[in-house]
Amino acid sequence: MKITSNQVFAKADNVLEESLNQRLIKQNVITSNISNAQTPGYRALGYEFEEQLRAAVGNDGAMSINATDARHFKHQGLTVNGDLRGDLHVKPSESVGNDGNTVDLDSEMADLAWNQTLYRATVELLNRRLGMMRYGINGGR
Amino acid sequence: MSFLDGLKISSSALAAERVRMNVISSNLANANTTRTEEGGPYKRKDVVFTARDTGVTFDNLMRQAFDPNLKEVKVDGIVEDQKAPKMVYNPGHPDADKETGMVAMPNISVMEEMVNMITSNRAFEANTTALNATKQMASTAINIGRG
Repeated sequence: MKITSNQVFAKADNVLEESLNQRLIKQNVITSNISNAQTPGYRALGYEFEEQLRAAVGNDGAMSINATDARHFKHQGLTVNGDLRGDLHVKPSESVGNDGNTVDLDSEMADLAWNQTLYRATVELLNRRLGMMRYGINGGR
Repeated sequence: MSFLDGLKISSSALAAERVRMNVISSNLANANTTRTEEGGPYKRKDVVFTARDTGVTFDNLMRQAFDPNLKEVKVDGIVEDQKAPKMVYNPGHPDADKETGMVAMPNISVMEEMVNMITSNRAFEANTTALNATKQMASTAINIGRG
């Protein structure tokens, strides 16, 4: 019997893996904001991917992208390679400094800590799942 | 998009803040300097930061249509503050005007420099934190499957 990776790894594993990719992108976006906290004219960027990830997972077994239009290409199952495009946007800001910089350093630092924590949590979940798999492979020993 | 991007962005900011710190040090050290090579009192220096796309390679340019336009910091240049020198009455000073007794002192406010120094210090700390966070995430990722 030929075993494919789809039979070994569940959907949840793909979601976790893609989530790690997305967290990394978000980390880099936040880092970019913090680095440019003193750069005149820099507009803070935001990155959200949770919605897109949820939509990509769908409610069937496979990870696929929901087509919002019949003419769209039907994407056959999302491969976990950073294909998922989150929403990168210029953050709306009510406070603009004299130099046109919109970075709120405090909120960026909070986002940084939060993103880092969620990354660790995701790795932890992945590790637990791999641990269960190992448990199964070893026959419960 | 890799961990290296984040580390590179953070380190660009650390380097930029260090340049700023050096410029502030130079300003503070020369707060009373009345002679320079160009003649006249020392003029206050200031750094100009500019945001630059990370890793300007062909591959990156191709991907830019999709990839987030992340920016690293670059020191665009060091400019001289064109404010007029502070005129201080001090007839005993060797550089004092013979008739009026006024000395042209550097256009530096020590308070302003101190405030800039603290800001720069905090920015440096923030970037160190970001760098450590990225580093920690990378080392967490290394441990996937070791549980």
